Amino acid sequence: MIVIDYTDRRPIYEQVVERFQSLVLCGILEKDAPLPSVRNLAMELSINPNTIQRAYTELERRGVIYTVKGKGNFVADLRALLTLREKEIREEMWLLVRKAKEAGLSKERVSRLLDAAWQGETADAGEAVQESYVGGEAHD
Amino acid sequence: MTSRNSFFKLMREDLRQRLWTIVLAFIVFVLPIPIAIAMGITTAFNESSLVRYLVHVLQANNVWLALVTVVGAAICAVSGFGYLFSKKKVDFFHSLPVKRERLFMIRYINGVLVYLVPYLTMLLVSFLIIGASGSFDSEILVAAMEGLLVHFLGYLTMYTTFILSVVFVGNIVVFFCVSGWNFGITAVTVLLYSLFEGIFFNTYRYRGDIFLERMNSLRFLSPGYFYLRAVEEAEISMLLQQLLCTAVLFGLALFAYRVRSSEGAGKAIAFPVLKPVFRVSIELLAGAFGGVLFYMATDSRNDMPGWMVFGAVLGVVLSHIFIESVYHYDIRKCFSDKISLAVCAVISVAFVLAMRYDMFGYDTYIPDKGKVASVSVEVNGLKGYSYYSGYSTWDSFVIYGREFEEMTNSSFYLNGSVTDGRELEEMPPTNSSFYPLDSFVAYDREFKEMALTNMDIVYPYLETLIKDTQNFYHGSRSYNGPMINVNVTYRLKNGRTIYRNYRSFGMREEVFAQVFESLEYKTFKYFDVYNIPAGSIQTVQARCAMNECTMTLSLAENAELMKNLQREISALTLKERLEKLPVALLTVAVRETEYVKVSGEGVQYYSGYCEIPLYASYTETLRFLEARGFSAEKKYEWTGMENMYMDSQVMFFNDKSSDGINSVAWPADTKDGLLEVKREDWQALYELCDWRELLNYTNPTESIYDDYWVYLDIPAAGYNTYDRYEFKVDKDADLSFLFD
Amino acid sequence: MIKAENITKRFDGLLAVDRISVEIKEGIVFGMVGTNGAGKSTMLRIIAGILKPDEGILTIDGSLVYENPEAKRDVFYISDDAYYLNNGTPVDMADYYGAVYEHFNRKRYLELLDQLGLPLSRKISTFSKGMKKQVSILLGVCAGTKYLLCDETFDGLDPVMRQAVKSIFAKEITDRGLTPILASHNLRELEDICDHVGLLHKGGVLLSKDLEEMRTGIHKLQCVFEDEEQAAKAMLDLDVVGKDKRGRLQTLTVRGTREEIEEKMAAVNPIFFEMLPLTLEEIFISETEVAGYDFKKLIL
Repeated sequence: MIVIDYTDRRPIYEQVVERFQSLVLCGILEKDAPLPSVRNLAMELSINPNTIQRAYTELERRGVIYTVKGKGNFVADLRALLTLREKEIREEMWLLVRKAKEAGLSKERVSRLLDAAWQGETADAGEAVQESYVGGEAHD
Repeated sequence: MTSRNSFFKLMREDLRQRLWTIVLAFIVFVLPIPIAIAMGITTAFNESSLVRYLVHVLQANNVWLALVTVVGAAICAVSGFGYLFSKKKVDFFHSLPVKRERLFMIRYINGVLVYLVPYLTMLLVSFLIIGASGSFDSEILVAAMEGLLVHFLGYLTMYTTFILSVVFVGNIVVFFCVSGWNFGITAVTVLLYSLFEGIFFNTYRYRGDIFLERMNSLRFLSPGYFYLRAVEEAEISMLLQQLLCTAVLFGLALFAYRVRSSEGAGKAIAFPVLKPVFRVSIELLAGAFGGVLFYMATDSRNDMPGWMVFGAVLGVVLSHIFIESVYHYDIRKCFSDKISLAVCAVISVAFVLAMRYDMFGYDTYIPDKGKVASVSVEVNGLKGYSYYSGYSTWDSFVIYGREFEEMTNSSFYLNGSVTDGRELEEMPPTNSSFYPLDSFVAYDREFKEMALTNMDIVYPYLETLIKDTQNFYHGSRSYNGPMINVNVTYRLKNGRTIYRNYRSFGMREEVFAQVFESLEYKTFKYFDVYNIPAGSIQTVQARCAMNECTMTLSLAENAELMKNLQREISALTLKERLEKLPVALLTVAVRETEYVKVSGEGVQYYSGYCEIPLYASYTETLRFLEARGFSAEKKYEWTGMENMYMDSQVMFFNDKSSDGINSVAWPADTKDGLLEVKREDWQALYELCDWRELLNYTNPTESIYDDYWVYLDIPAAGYNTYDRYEFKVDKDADLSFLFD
Repeated sequence: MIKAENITKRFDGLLAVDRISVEIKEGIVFGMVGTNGAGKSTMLRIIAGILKPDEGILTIDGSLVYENPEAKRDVFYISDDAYYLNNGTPVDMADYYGAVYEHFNRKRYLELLDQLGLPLSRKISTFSKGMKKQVSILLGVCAGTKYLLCDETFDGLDPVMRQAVKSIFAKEITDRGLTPILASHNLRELEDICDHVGLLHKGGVLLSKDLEEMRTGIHKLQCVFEDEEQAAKAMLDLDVVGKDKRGRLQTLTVRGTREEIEEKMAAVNPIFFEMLPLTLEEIFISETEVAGYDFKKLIL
């Protein structure tokens, strides 16, 4: 369920948080589904249980999960998480737009890139970007 | 789980680790001794010899048991505490939540059990075998119990000392060195000091038992000595002292174990503070030894001390190199701590120089008069004879109700001169032969019993002796007369005893006379005369040359005789003693049950008598004897005699012809080397002769060996043998009439 | 809690541990990193009560540890080069420790031996290095002590076994609050299991910090400023620990939480900025740089 990537620069607990978050978002873990206990997960991953505990605490803080004392951790209502997710995406998008502005891309161009990305045509879109970028330079 | 529980659990686990020592103990203990016993039982000749054999096997004085004890103590100490040499094991054991005291006790007790259990098993099996054979005897039980006590206590002492050695060090090689130090440093020091005394000091008096005597007084510094002594002879007071000594060692070992830091593992010495102790002590001994070695190798009379100094420095440096290399495991570190090396070298050199030039005043030392309790003075050549004989060893004996100490070395001295231990010959004791014990009791007595307390009388003589000795060795005075050896023993009030050997120019009558003529001196010198109870006297024999008269007297007569003798001996002057020969000898034979009671093994026969020289001034005594048929006159009675011979061999050996002093033409036609003396010369020759036995009482400054010795072999009537009479003829006597 | 105050230890005049003060709280996994000879083993042996510190006080839950069985009962020391009883088998070792540690869990020990496929009654002396190590670890884990001192314990274990051991630790930590103290010369080995790392160098503690605190408290920032003035302004606001400049691109190592830094940067509004997480190694490099040391020489 959870895999630790030791080549990842991010701390383990962050990885755990990310993984659970995406599992929940993808719907693999449904609402009120129990999470593995700290002990079992720590043993399974051969990592410090405190790390797992910290990850769970972070997940709880983010509203992804909730804790029932004596019973364990459960997946929280997705809406809260989605809200949180949207906020994150909005922020990232804001950054992305800023980067695009810096790169001198037009709003239309960016929309097109977004459309392509949405449809999963990353490669083509990439080429298109390159073309248009080269073209743009030629215009100048 | 209670802590006691864990204690025994740990003991069990520890024992499991040491299984091999138990197996070894069974192999060396339980197998050989019962086997030896069984073999003895099947091959014994008779009951009493079997019991003796069994006692011999089980008693304390069994070398095999002693060997097993010592080696076993070393093995158990190392197997129990050798973990201290390994960092790995120390980390293991010292990380356990167990107090050091507890670890120590667990291991200590196990080490004891490894010895004790096999020993007891061995005893049990032995008893079963002996019991089955029907030869059990209380004597065997007593011997076995004494053996158990001595060896077990010995084991504790050795084991504890070995443990102390283990705790002191950090590896096995140094363990052996430090064990050697623990057991041997006192003995080596004493041995070396005794050696130095003999080499450097002119007044040093050699005594065969001095080493043991000194070890005995330093026994608390030498744990091994206790055990050796107990194996030799178990005494309860000594065993108690040994127990005390062992308890102290135990406390020391426990303390050292507790404070020993774990990082000591693998180092040479675990306690840095002990390093200089071991090193300096060995360096000083090596320095002193090196100095003496070179002193003896070079000409000892040479006054140049250069080689001796070199030897001392060499000894210190070599030992320093060795020890520091061991300490650091690195030959390059052999000169570490140069300051201490220099200090040791200086001390060693100073010591050997001080010994060489007697800076401690050994030779000139005389105790303060006030501090001396008593003095014994024994002048070489002033003999007194008592004969006590028996055989086998004497442990202790009682003469005239007074108890005497064990005889020297429990061995026999045969025909020894009384005056000097060096002239005594040691005879091995055997069970079958009979050896007369000649004079050694007198010898012992003058050493141990004489106690002169009037220092005002003795000190002038002693001071003269010291002065003469100094002059003899260092002075320029030319003196050609004989030197007299005098042994002096000072017994101080504080319990110390000081032994000296002096040399005097002649007898020193001017100061010795007051000593000799004091009643105190006489009562020791003529001990028997003053001490034999009249009731103990069996027979009295008076002799003079060929006169002899044996008489059995009444109690009153005996009492009168002894009283006269005492009075007249008290009045004997040194002048008469030195210048006159006695006129007769009185031999007093003492009833055996009265004079000696011997405890110890194997004494089955003894007899005793004392010989008292009679001088011309003993008029009362001589008159008493004359009234009973004895004449001190040198009478001529050749009744029944046909021939008189002289032994030419004696003449030959003493012939001074080559020096041209007194050449005697010995006839060539002697038969079998015997010269037949013509009847008309008998009287003349006899007149020239002194009776040999009286010559024991000559002036020691006159050498009797310069004279001719004459043996008169007088054929006993009716027998084909001779009665031999020994005489001396003065070297200046004219014997030419024999060869007319 | 294990508390060391100014612990100093010398070996023949050589300073092995130099005034170390450190606190090891219960329930965490404490890592002790440092090069060979940094004093890790010595420190562990002092905590285990094997060595007596020359100076300073070492207490376990408030009581001095040296020659104090009460305190030592809570500690088990797994040596790097452990001793096994003469001819001892894993079972013999359990017997021995069982006599010493009250809470030694023999059942679990046997289970774990079985799980790891270790023979019960073969002499340990015939085991491979890794197998011996596993036995030591199992003994330590099953001794039932509160603290477990591990000296280079993962050294010599293959990756699978390493994971297995860590998993066993994880169980003990959650089940009974075991506090492992792991000494290693390899930071990466400790990275995934420790909460708190103490860096030892030449007998002293260079730093002792909570890993997560470290991670959230320091960040790498790549940014391009419009001009020097803007750069200077940003620098003034930020707690910059290290900086590197290539062309216009500046790489800054900055203390502070992610949010703080983002906020400050947004206020300055540079042409470009990006936050990057730091690896533990990088964190250590920057932390030790502050102390004037070159971490790469200390540990890598």
